[in-house]
Amino acid sequence: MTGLEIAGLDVARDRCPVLQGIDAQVGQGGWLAVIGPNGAGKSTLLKAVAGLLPYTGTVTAAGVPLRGLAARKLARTIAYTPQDPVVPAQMSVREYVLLGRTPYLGYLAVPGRSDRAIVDGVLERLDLGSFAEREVGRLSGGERQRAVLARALAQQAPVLLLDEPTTALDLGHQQQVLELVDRLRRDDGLTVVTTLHDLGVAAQYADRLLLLVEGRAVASGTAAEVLTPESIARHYNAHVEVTTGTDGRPQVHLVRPGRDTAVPVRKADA
Amino acid sequence: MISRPAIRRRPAAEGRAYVAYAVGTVLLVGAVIAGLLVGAADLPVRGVLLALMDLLPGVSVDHGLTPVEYALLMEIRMPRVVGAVLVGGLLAVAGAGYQGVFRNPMADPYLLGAAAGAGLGATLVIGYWDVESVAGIGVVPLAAFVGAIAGVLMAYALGATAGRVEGTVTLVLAGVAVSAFLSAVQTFVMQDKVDELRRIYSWILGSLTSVGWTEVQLALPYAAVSVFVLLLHGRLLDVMTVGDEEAAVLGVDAAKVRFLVLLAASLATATAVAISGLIGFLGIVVPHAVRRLAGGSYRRILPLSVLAGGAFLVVADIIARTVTAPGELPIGVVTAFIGAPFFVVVLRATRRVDL
Repeated sequence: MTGLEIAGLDVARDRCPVLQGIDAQVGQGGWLAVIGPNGAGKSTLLKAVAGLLPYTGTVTAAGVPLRGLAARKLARTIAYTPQDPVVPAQMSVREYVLLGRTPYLGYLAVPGRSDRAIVDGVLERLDLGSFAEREVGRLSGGERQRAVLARALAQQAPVLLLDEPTTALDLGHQQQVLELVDRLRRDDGLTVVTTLHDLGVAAQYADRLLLLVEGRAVASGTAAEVLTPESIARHYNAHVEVTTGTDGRPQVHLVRPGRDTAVPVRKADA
Repeated sequence: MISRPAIRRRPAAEGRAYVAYAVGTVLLVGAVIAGLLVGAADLPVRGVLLALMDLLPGVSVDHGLTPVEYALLMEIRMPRVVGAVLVGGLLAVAGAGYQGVFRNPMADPYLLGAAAGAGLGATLVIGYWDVESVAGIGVVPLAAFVGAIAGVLMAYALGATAGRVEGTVTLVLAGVAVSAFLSAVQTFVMQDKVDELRRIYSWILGSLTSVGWTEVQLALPYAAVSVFVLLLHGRLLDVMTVGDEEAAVLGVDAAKVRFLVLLAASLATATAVAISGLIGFLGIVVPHAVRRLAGGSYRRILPLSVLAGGAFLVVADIIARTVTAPGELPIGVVTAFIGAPFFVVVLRATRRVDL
C-alpha cells in the first residue's frame, strides 16, 4: 500500500515558484529522505504536504487525497515537526506531549482518560517517563527532540514528516533519534518523510531518496542510485568519494579539494 | 497483552494545581472579609462575620448589628468589595488571555488600544457632555466601555488589513498606532478643557469610590460572559503556545482562537474599565505571577488569575482607602506601588525560564 504519494506538486511563494512538478512515492512503512543543497525547497515540500502552504497537484496519504480535508482530519493523517520547534518553556513534558491529542478533541473539549493513557504510552516508549513532569525548557537538546517526536507520535497519524530532526544534536543523539524513528516505522508501519542535510545519514537510514535542486526533483531512487560522486559534485558543488559499506549502503566522504587524500602531518606532531 | 497495574501516580502538576486553587480561594475569601471589616467606621468583627454567615443559604443567625451598621456593610462596603473582586478578576484574566494570544509576557489588557479608547471616551464625555447619567447608567462608564471596545476593534481591523506579517506582529503594531492616535486626540481635548483636568486625571488613575450595587449589576452579565468564554479557551491557548504554524499542524486555526480570545478579553477589560477607570499593572503582573507559581498551562493560569486578581485588588483597595484616611489614594497608584515590589519578589523566588 502506498504510504504517501505526491504527484505534480507545485508550490509558489509570493508568486515565485519554489517547487515545480515534484513527484514522489513512498510505501507504507517506508522512509523517504528529501535531500538537496540549501534553498532547494526541502522544507517547503514538507510544509506543503503538511498543509501549511498552498500547492497545486495532488498529495495522497494512505489512499486519501489530502486536499480539502478538514484541519483536524488532516492532523490525524499527517504529523509534522518543524526544523525549529517552538517549545513552551514552562510547560511540563507531559502537557506538551498531550498537545499531540489536539486533533482528536472538539473545540472546547478537554483531554480524557484515553488521551492521557496514549500519552503515557508514548512517554514510556520514548524513555521520557522520568522527565514527564519536567519543564520542556529544562530539557537537553536530545531530550527535547524526543519530546517533540513524542508529541508527533501522540497524534497517531500514519504519516510522519520530520524536518531536519537531527540538526541540533551531537553525533550520539543523532544516532539515538534516527534509530528510534527507524524502530517506530518498523514496529508501527509509520511512513516517514524527513529532510536531511547529511547525505551520509540519509544513505544509512532512508530506503528512498529524493534529490531536490532549485525546486525540481533531479533524482530519486535508492541511496546507491541517487548518491553518486558526479551527481553530488554537480548539485552540491562538493568533492566527495562514495564507497559501499558492509551493509551494501553507500557511504559519503568529503575529500578536501587541491590536496592529497592523506592526512597532513605537522612537524611538531612528527 | 499484559495489563498494567492500575496504580498511577497523579501527575505532579495536577497535584500542584489543587493546592494552587485552594490557596487562591483562601486568599480571595480572606481579602473579601478583610475588605468588609476595614474602613472609616469601626464595625464589630463578630457582627460582620455573623451577618456574612446569615447571607449563606440555609443559615439564619442573629448578627446583632444596628440598622445603620448593617446598611453600611451591605450598601457601601459590600458593593465596593464585590466591585474590586470583579475588576481585579477581569483585568487579570484578560491579561492572561492577551499574554496567551500574543505569546508574550509583556502583553497586558491595554495592549490593543482598550485603555486609549476608554480614556478618550471618558475624556470626551467629561469635557463636552454635561449629563451625569442616561437611563440610570453613568455616561462616563458607558463612554469608557464603548471607547475601549472601539479602540480594540480599530486596532484589530487595522492589523487584519495592513499586510501579512507572520503571526501577531502586525496586530501589536496596529495597537501601538491606534493607542498613540487616540491618546493624541485625548491630549488635545484635555488642552481644550483644562478646568476638567482634575476629574479626567482622577478617572485615569482609577477608583472604586463610586461603585454601588447598580454598577455591579450592570457589569455582571458582561463579566460573566467574558470570563466564561476565556475559561473555555484554556486548552486552546496551550496549543497556541507552540505558535501558529504548529497549531495548524495540530488542526487548530490560530487566527480564529486569537479572535475569540481577544474579543472576550477585550470585553472583560472594557467592563473593568467602565467600573473603575484605568487600573494599571494588575493585568500584566497577576497572570505572570500565577504562571510562575502554578506552572505554564493556561487551563490553570486563567481560573487562578481570576482568584488572584480579585484578591489583589481588594487588598490594594483596602490600602488605598486606609493609608491616607479620611482621604483616598488613587487605586492605580497602589496597584503599581505594591505590585511592582511584589512582582520582583516573585521573579527572584522562582527564577525560571521565561515564557
